[in-house]
Amino acid sequence: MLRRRPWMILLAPAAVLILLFYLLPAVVNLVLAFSDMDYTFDFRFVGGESLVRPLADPMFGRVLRNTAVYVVTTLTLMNVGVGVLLAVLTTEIPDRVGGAFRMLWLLPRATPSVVYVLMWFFLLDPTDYGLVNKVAGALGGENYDLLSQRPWLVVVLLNGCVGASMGMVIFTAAIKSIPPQLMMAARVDGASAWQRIRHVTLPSIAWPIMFVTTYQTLSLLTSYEYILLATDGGPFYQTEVLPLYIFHNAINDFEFGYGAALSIGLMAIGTVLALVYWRVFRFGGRGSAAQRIEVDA
Amino acid sequence: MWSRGTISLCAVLLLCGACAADGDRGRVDADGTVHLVGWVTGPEPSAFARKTNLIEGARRLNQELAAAGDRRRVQIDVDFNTTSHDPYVKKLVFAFAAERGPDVVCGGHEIVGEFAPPGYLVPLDDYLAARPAFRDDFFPVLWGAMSWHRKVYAVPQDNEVRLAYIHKKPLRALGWSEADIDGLAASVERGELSLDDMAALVEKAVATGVVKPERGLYHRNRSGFDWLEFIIAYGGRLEEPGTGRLVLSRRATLATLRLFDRLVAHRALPPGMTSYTERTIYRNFVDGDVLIWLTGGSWHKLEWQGAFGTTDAEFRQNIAYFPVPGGKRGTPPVSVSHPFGCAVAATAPDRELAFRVIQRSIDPDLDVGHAIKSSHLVVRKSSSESGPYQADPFLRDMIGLLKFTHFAPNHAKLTRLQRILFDGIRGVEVGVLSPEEALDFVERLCKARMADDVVIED
Repeated sequence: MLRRRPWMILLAPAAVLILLFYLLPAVVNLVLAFSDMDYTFDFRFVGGESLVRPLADPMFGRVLRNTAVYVVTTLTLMNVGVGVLLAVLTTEIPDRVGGAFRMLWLLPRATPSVVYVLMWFFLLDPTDYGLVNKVAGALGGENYDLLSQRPWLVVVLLNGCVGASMGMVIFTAAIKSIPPQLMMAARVDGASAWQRIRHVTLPSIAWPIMFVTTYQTLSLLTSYEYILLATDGGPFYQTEVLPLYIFHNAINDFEFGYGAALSIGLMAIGTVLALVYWRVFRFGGRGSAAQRIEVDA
Repeated sequence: MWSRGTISLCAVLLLCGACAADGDRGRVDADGTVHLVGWVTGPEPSAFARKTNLIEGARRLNQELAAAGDRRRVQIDVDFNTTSHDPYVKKLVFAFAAERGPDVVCGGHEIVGEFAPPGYLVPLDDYLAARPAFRDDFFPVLWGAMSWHRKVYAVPQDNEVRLAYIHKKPLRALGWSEADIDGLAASVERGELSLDDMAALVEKAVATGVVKPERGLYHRNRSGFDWLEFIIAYGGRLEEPGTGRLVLSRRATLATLRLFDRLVAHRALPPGMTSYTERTIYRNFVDGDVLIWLTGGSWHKLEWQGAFGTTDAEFRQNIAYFPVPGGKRGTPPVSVSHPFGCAVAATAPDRELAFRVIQRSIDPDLDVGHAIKSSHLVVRKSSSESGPYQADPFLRDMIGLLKFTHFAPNHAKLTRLQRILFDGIRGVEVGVLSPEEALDFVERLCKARMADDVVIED
């Protein structure tokens, strides 16, 4: 059978990995969600009790709202918005300068997250010791506690500076693969830089934008590492997002059953969003059809 | 495709890995050597003697065994945790569940509430009953902190006092004389200065410009035992004596929330304390930029010496201390102690020897040495009378504060209650909730997350 279907051999290693590290944990999570397992690790079946518990959880609504704000804001402004901006700008300037700039922008991604967040703490320390406050003080301003007063701004910037780098790399690669004759034609037609970006560059990277949007949505939906380190969801649940809430319940409070039930909710949201993107962006039907680009005179 | 050699190498590596992992576990060798694994936590480096005392305890026990003609010997490997309490407890939870936990486990007394109920720890009452002189040499109140359901599960290792520190520089600028400053602690102890009076003092320091706005008072930047002090100070209780269930005292909680609301409203306290790192907090206080460090501990004196080079003389010259004042005038001040203890795990290969290592690790000289090195309190009566300990005026004062001390209940969900309470305080401080709304929030969250484990009372 294998001789007639060699693709099965080729797929087997990946299939085993998917089974072990994707499907099996999902099944274990599903089973746990029907228990009230705590730090004693005793499995007590409680039916759907844990699954309906979020409805009675006073913080659940706020956490869902926070998650939506976090994902939408970080995605649009930073991961895609700044990613596109950086890619376009750094490909419009001499390649050596653009490359160096992109390399610098990649540094946060290569920095351990704890060190990266500590650097933000040095910047934003609410007392005179913070760099931002030092500068503000030198200019005659007062100390400002950004982490407490504007936690979303910090969380979005902190995550986005890392997140934008992925988009930047992918969009840059896409821009560099645009056939040069398209750009030359645009120039011959008298297109300005902005017109070239708008009518040649952006349409050419539409597919990568859709890919990054989809990928980063799902990634942001499950990411909490930087928020945990920077604000731990605070002050007072203002930046508590669903994956962090799951961490707090399951790992801090040892409510493994409830944490698993919340994870089911997160998985459901992720699946629905993935299907929506699939339909809206027409990933299924999008082939290598030639794109038509029009340039205004 | 894979040579026989490659497969053999992989097998050997896997075997070595398994052996190495097993090497971390307690076992008894054929020659009678008992290998024990101990886990202790600081996290502050000054508390490193918690580790070395266990090793020294094992050495002394081996001498004792040799003298008695006993062929058994103990070898103990001790891991010293340098992270905070929560990660340490997490590590223990997962290690015990995986049956890879330590044989001797040391930590704050809450480890009893966490790990005795699932049966991870063994009761020590029989061992203690066989050694009455040893048992009776400890301050009796400490045995209560080491107990769960009337059984003792840990031997006290050190104790501490939580207290407030006040910087004398701004106090002098406010017009306080040296005599006034020296008499401050006594006045708090007599109940002449309440939490409200303290708040008024801090507010005055800010209003008169002695300290900058939001530099009147600092408090801990995260959840912990300290918040319970205010509940007790305002007349609340933490535990229902008959059932052992935790208590949320509404009146005392509301008073606590109003205190912090008032301090923020008067710009005496920064609303965003959680964004202050501990180093910033301590540096601001030690530099005299902040009047009161409210949620201090006896160990901070030594920590500041290490971090900022504060000498004993500078400490005496610049810093005074007092227990957290009572909620109303005439009520006693409060301190919550958090004694450390060492317990024997149910999986220890030789429980009796594990207990005896712990016993010898708290010999009076080791008790005193650790207390002096780490600015903690001794746990044995005979240690407290020793010369070196009595020679340290700060530690002597700390012993004096023990009469105001309370212990947090040993309950597995106490940490959760503390966290909810802290969230309520944070909500008030950042201006998201009024004190009344915060009380409602705390109450609802307690009901949702703790169900029958907490009793809500007026």
